[in-house]
Amino acid sequence: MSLKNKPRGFTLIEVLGAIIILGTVIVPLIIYMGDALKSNLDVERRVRSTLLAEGEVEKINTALYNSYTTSFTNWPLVLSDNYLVSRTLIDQTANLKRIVVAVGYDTNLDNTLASNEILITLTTLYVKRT
Amino acid sequence: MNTLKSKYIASQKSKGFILVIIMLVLLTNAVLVMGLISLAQTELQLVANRTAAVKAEYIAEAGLAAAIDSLQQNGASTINWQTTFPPSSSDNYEVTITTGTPVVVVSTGTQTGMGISHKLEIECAISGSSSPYTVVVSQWRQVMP
Repeated sequence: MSLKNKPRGFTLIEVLGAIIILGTVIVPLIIYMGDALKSNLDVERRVRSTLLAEGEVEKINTALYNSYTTSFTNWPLVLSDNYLVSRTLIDQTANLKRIVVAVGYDTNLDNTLASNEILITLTTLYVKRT
Repeated sequence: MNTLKSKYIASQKSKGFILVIIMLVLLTNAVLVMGLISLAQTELQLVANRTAAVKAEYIAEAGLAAAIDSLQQNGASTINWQTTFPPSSSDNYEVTITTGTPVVVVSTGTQTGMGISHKLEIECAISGSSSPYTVVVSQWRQVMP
């Protein structure tokens, strides 16, 4: 038998076997990898929302310090990129206002902060100085 | 003849080699993906802790605001109270006012979900003869647990 005619490389059976093994194991791995990347994006949005919410509470504190009867109706809803904010002021007592700031990512891009899009809600009190 | 035999043996030995390659590729991928998942879980835990800490800090600030309101309305008196805040949540703040010169107010905000607390302390002076009293805050500090 001549060496030149001896088959080299992998046989069709080997290649098919390899594809089947790779396919069955790689697919779940890719799914897990996708989940991990999605979770990474979620983390990034939560971190950014937290920072934006902190900044918003401080802005409201400053505005209330300057004028206790400040209204926020004209303040922008969009904070940055697709991050939206919802601000609520509640008179807790005559000299105490409850500040509620909710920040989230507008996933469906409808410029409205739905409850399932809220990533953080910060609540605090502001006291009117006498 | 010897050369032919050795090449034949080498050819026989190389059978099944693709399985080893696949196993190595799969092992490498599995290790990478497991590392990625572990990292993602750690990051999620970190951000949850950070969010809870920020919430606790603002709850503690709410306690301080309530304490200053109490001092403005009632003047200085040693008092301690705990309130659920925000209302209808499980979080709370605990405020302790200690009279003296200066008046010391300690507010501890607790985010019960993650069990994280944040403690703030202020020193202030109260003046005025009747309600509403004037409260001047001279020191504001974060108390490390």
